Amino acid sequence: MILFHSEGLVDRSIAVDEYIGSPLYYVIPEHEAGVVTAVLLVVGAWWLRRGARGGKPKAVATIDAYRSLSPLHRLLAWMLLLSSAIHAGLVLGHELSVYTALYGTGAAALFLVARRLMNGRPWRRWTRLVLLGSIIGYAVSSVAGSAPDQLGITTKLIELTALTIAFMPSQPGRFRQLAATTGAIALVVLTGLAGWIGAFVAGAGGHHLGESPPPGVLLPPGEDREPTAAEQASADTLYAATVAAVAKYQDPAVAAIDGYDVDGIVGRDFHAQNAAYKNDGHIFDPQRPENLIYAVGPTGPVLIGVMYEMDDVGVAGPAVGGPLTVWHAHDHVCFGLTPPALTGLTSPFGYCPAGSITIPITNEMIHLWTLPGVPEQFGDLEDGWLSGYLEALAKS
Amino acid sequence: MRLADAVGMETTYRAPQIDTSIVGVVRTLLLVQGGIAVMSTVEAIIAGVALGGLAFPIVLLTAGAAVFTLLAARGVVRRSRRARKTVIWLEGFVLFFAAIDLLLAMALAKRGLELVPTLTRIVVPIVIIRLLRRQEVRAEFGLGPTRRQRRKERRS
Repeated sequence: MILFHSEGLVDRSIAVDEYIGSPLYYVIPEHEAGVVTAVLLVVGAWWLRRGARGGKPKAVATIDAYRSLSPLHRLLAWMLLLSSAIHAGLVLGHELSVYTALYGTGAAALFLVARRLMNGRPWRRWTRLVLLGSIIGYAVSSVAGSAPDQLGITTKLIELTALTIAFMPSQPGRFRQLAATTGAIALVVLTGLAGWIGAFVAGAGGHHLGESPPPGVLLPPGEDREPTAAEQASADTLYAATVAAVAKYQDPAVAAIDGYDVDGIVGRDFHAQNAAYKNDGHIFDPQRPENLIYAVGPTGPVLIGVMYEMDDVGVAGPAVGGPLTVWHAHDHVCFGLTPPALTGLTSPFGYCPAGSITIPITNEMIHLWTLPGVPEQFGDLEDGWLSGYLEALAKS
Repeated sequence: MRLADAVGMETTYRAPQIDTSIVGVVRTLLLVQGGIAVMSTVEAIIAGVALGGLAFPIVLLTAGAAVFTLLAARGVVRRSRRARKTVIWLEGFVLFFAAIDLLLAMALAKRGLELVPTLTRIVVPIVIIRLLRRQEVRAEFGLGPTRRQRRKERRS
């Protein structure tokens, strides 16, 4: 049963690729050339080896220089050349700008330090300098709002691995070794944090159509526009019906009687779900919202809204109010098994906390905020506004 | 049992050597993995606070994984057999959870894992396990060849 539906908006299947998500979890089109040049490097290495077998002098010299390196330094050479190749690809994938100049400089510098290493010339100081410059430059651009993507993070992991080798002191010593290890770990953490900051800054648009969402949120494709009169009327009707229907749940005890799991309400975004209303065939039914949302207020839990859910993954929710009622799904959600609970989002480095699995995509959902005077009735609730509302409750 | 003993750390100090062998490669990869695990611990703490309740067991588990990985990185350089075994088990766990995530991604999202998790959770653990199982590396840890390696030797 579907309430408040509009023709052509319901039961439409939606593929994962159709959603707009955070670039943190995919390779942006401008960076695809970087993947190609990385693959070309591997093909080139194979070609060189073949040439060396055939006795071509230049190929033989290059392969001999590579083979004269220790296993660890061979890994370093590969890491430097891979990063150089990817940077060269990024030049090809972007229009001319300061960034392309930086990518080009990076590609050349990384290639030159790899050559120094393979030619047996002093390389350590230059390698540290070039890699630190590249990693810090990336962190700064991320924090400034340039969204990191899978290829960017991969390149930084390659460079962090190379830097871990380059940081190793040439002379043994306990303090030097400890400092090198600590420095390498600190840079991994800083790069990860910069990645998170970049992804959230770039995704500050919230839940509006046509904007880049924050990590973990998937929006359907489309552009933001003014609602039609019919869409506005539909959204208003749905909103009023929902507010009236759930008013009784201001008291969590009443919600518990109706089957909502209100045990242990904590925080300002507690979703109390009703297992009986999930997958029940009722969509957008104000009498049966799948979740109630509570915030802990000055005198106890405050009902702040509801969350409607679709029954199945890959089915678009009915946007009855057009751009006013934009559904969203979640991706890369970490779910802990010890004990079962949400534990965050997949990190820029592809991991969830230990003992957690990754839920790749959820069914669609939409929030409706029932508090009086709320700035936006559907979608995102401004944190600052909620703080002010709860503070006002405390004073009254 | 002390944590250092659990991963085969020696209690007497010996000046660390610069190891550029295959074991040095394993150590480097473990250090990066350890750094990622430290980052995951920070994320687990932040997510726990943001989601309204600190998931203490998860934080503890992730921090434990980070400490074990970093101690094991030190242990393998000292050619500790226990550290080698610990690393193989740790990488096995990483691969096990990556396999679950891959199956979930294929079943629910009709796609595989992305580039970064494929590298960090599948390629790197397989590389580490394979390097540690190589005959010459086993010999460095005072271990003989595996049955399979012996069979291969006999055939050649």
